[in-house]
Amino acid sequence: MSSEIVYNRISMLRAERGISRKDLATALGVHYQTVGYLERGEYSPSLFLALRIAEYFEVPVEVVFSLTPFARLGSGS
Amino acid sequence: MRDWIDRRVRRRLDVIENSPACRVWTGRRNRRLLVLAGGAALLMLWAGLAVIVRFAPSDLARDAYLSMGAVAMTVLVLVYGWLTLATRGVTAVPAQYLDERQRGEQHRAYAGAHSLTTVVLVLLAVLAALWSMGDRLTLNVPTALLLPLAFTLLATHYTLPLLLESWRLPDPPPDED
Repeated sequence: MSSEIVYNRISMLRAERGISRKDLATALGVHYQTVGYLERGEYSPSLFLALRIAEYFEVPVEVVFSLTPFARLGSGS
Repeated sequence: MRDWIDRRVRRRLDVIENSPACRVWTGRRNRRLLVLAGGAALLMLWAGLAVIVRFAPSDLARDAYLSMGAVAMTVLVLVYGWLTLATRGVTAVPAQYLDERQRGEQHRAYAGAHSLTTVVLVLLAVLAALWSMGDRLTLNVPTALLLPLAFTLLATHYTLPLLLESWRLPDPPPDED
């Protein structure tokens, strides 16, 4: 099942823009716990929800989601 | 009518979200303790049927079954209410009021409960077959067994999705950022 992990940067994008979990959930029309599960990597969104999250942050979907872990900021790569 | 149902479900979800019990029972450990209590109550209902089969018709069977049923139902009603709050009503409201993650959870709960209920029904069929085995053409089944059996099956069918879902869910993310 580990091959089905989808990594995301939702918490980073949210913190960077000062958006609360509840505000993001309201904008996406989901329960605020769903945002929490997404951030913890315990739930992989549908393509529709993934695209809506990317649209909300105004970034391409691959900036938010990846099949491989994101490089840490300042890791030099 | 549809508006009335819509208002009712939304009010129910509102109550669930704002209930303090929601926070008390939402942790995995507490939820699992409630599931164990609910499971024990269900087993007690089934054990009550065995008492009827063994001792009915008699005052002992009636008194024992009613006592066991009363205790089991009190526990089940409390557990069902608390677990509904702890799982944010995932198995208590129609799917259209849930988001995609919650709908997935609801689906998993119903699918798992369906499998378990199938096991219960198969066991029941095997027991019925064993009971009716032999050269007898008639079998004395206590009338007192019929309603409690139907009721126990209904209680099992109704509560299993919530019990399974409550056992399976991980600790929820903290409410506050």
